[in-house]
Amino acid sequence: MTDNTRHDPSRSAGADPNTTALLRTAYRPPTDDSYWGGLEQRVMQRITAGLVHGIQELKPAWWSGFGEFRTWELRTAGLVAATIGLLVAGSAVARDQATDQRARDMAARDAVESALPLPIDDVMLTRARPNLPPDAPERYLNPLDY
Amino acid sequence: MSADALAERALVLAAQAGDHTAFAGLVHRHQRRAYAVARAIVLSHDDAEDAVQEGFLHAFRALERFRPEQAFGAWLHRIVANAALDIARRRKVRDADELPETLSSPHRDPAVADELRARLTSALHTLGERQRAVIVLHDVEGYKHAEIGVLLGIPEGTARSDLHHARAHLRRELSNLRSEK
Repeated sequence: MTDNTRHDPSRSAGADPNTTALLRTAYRPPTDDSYWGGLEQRVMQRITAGLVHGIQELKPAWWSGFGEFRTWELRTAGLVAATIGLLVAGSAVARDQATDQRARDMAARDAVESALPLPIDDVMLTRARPNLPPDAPERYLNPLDY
Repeated sequence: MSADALAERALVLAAQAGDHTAFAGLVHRHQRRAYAVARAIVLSHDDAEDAVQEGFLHAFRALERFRPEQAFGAWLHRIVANAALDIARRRKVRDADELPETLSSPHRDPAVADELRARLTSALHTLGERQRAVIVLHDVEGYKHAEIGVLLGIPEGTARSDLHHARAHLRRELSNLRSEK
């Protein structure tokens, strides 16, 4: 096995022996063989898990195409659609209001016009005449009759 | 080439061909040294184990890029050292109780041993991450300056300088206690 410690006391020249002894104690690796057997298993399990994960990453799922619509593109498309919808609805409302206004104006005009049985000049003339002072000059007030 | 080296080369070639059992053989061979490298860089046993697992996982994924004529151990330990450095950077601030309190001590007086251990823990925490790694790799694990430079990605001269400063720092911290006693 190539895994033995390579410590060589003669190569620690210049080091304080007490400090080095403390360091070696503090950094002593686990000595239980079962620990190393367990670590080997954990390493291999992690590698196997990494392989499975890697395969899953490479395999495209049927829903993976939707993933592209989940973020920016989806929000952008939604905003554009909502804006267009608002514009269309707004213009339709404005057009309806204008049509209604026109219809109301026409109805009002019809109502006024249908309520006047005579031309306004006739009305003015026929109604004004009884109220005239008796001494009003006839020629001035009703020139067409002369 | 020695029989051991030939056996390791066979394992590497088989692992590169997709044989997981062969890679498990490489893990079995190198995990103790990989742990020692990682443990020199991080402050706790748990972080060292995480670094070992990360290192082997990275090595497995990069196995096809490894050239069999290289030394597998050196290549692997560099990867483990990088994983440990990454973990150490992520966990800069750690509690001062990482070193086990139940470890035996070379000092016969338990009071002195406990005090020294506490001082050592404190001194190791105040030591820079790189200097701590260098002194442990050199004085505890027996690596040469050049090897440490390769492991940590620093020039050999820097490793030599770091070792000098780390030794002086620890000697100063611990000698105060000895003189007090």
